[in-house]
Amino acid sequence: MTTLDEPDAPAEDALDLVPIPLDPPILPRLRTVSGLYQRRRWLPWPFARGADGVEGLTPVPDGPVPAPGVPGIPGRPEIPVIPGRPFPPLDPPVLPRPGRSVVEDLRLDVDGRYPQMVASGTIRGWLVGRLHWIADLAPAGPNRWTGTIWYRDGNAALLPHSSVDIKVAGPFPWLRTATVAFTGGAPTATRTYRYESAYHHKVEFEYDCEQGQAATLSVDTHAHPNRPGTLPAENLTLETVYRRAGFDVSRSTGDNIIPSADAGGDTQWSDQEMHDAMQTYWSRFANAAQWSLWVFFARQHVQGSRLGGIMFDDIGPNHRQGTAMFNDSFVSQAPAGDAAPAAWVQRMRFWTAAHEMGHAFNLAHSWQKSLGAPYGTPWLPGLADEPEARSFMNYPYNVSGGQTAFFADFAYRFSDAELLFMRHAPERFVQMGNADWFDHHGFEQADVVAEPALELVVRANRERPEFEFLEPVVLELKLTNSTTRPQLIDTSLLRSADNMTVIVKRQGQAARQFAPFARYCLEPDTVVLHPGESHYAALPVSVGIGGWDLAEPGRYLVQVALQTGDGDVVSEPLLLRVAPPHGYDEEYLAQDVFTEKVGRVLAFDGSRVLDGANDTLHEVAERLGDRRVALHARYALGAPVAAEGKQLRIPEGASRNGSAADGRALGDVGADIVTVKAQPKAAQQDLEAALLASPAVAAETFGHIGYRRRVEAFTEVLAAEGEQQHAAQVQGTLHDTLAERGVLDRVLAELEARQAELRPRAKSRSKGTKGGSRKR
Amino acid sequence: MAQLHVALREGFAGEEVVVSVDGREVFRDRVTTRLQIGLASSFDLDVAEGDREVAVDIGGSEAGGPRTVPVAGQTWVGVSLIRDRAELDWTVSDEPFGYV
Repeated sequence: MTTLDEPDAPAEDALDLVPIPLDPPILPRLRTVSGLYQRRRWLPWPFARGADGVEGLTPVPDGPVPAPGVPGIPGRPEIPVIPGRPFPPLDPPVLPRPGRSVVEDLRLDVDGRYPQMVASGTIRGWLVGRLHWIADLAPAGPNRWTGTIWYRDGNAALLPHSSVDIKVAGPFPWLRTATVAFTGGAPTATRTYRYESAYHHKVEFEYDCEQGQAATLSVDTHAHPNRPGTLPAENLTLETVYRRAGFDVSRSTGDNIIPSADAGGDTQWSDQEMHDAMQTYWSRFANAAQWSLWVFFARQHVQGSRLGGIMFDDIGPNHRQGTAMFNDSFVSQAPAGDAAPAAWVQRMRFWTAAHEMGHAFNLAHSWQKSLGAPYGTPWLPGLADEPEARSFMNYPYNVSGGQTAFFADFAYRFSDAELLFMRHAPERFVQMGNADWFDHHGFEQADVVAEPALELVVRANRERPEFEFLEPVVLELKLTNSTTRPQLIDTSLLRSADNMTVIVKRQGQAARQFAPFARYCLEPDTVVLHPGESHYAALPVSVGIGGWDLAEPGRYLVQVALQTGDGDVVSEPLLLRVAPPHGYDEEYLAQDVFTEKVGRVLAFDGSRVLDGANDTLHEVAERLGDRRVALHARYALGAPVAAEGKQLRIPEGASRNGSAADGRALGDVGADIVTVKAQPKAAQQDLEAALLASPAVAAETFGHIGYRRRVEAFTEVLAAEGEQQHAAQVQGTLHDTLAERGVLDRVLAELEARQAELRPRAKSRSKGTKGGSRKR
Repeated sequence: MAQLHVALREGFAGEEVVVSVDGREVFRDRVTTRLQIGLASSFDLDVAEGDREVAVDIGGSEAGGPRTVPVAGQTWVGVSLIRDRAELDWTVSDEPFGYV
């Protein structure tokens, strides 16, 4: 008989929800305060001048060079500066508020089931690193605990303090906060965390069962007469066992019955066969660390009936994702003469399941706790073996007095040392599937979504991601719905620097966070993204407020993290190459091109006022006409004069750095806003050279999205000038160019529609000119 | 005839282990304990009933040595390396060992 029970709901007593004293008392009944608290803060970019340090924490990017403190701003910390091609000193910029989130967790463990009188915390943020700390606690008053930090793992500079003073306030969970004063070793820092959960971590179990086998997911704790006298009578489930250990347990809906044939002709399961079955049937399988576990109930292992269960998954790069229990094994053979053999078997199977699942949480056997090299490293030095522990992780038949003595004292729990590990050890030690490759990943510190519903790809619209020297690097972001269900996404995410972190790392140099010149406050633009569908955006990354991040010849890695409400979606890094200069002219002009003003002109598609930068672009267009940078130069020269526009005109000598020299308002010194007329002929010459002379090259260098935007803008200029036929031709060139480059049919259809709109008007205009039909 | 079941259990880390029964080599292999089940290797052999001298030699270690095992019917012998792998721990049972 194959049985898989329904998931059980979290029982209140799984948490031992009991009243806590209040100061002052408000309500008679409150719940425990143990659990997870969290705070998110915003750290500024490390190279943004004028940025604030946060509560004594100094952002530490990869390979920073200390720079002087911010002049004239007492108390501002030194801001690390990364060498590169930063702009020379300028007037104080108007800073946007770019940065990245830092997440801090606090796990408080002072009441509820099996309190360990411990607080632990994790500080994690991209480029600031990660720190995990643990402190022992003692009561210091109503809802207050103090203690000493005795464990640190990671960047210890993130928390130099030695002690904590924790006070919990708030009568209801949704109002509850924990305020922690970190003292000793550094100026006191006080942080307030918001209550998130009564549990320390989330975890998900999926139970799969071999055809014809029963899954033992629960036990009647009083079914067998040999038990502790104080043991409560209950129908205890595996989920409740792990809830009491501190985990917010959910159960996946993907329970499966697995054909016995998958075990091969011998109908016994080898580790590899079970690993294959896990990959095939586990609805959550991924080669990634995730708080998710596959639990398999089968008949028998190839080692025979002496193996009752095994955490088989030490295969491949991500271990501890799968466990198995075997019904046709010694755990189903009650001792001769046992008073309740059926209950003995049920209890032993249940114990075995909880035991194997414990291995997936990286728990060793009770007698193996102290093992070091050559087997591994205890997570804490000096860990003691617990050969007599009445724990799920001990063998009942190995203790003094054998299994009878074990179960006489067994309270269906883990030992305190094991609970300390599961609740408070650094997450990577405990989480299923955690592996070295992820630890060394470029976005190690990102708050990465365990099972991302979206896939983010950063790519270049060219065969190989190679860029000419001086050529502005424009990449493309592709955000894909990687699930089987439609999703609502806000398309403005990809256009807003608030939600996106872009890292540019030149080979052999420190990583830099790209910061665009402008940030846009965009109204959310929510669309339905069907399974497999993608949304795209252009990503120019050469130059921003941090300087020319992508300029020198060499190899670069570009990686993007998109902050969504569910965590960070991180792209794979894109490796690209910037070629060496083509000749003397390029080397010579580079000094003028790699400036902030030219960078701004290129980033904003031209300027009517930055004449020096425009002069440089004219020179680029003339001397480097066969190079791609010339296309960008000519577009930036032509676009601003293609249509009339407004311009602030300030009388000569009345302004310094954009302000009236004598302190008066600009309007009071004769400044006014004037309309500047278009120069259509000059603009048309530049825009055609940039966009239409070599359309395939232009589409590559501007990127498909940027090319379309620019050509359509040119089309509108022509249409506005009454050159419908020409506009239709330009639109046709855009269509054909992008069609040859394999863009989506949906995009091509939009271009065709626009071209069709222009054509009748072109014909109409033509008829009108000849026969006066426009009058009709 | 009786059957002797020998299990090399805790403490092995790739050493070459030679097991002899009454001076006859019956097992030679490099073994490593699989920590999640506490077992490195096991084998069975038919022996005559009565006291048998089972010797375990651990390559590169002084820990090995012989032990007299009374064998009757089915006999299970478990051998572990303990105390920083400096000593052998023997368990003799007339019931099979279970691993989880």
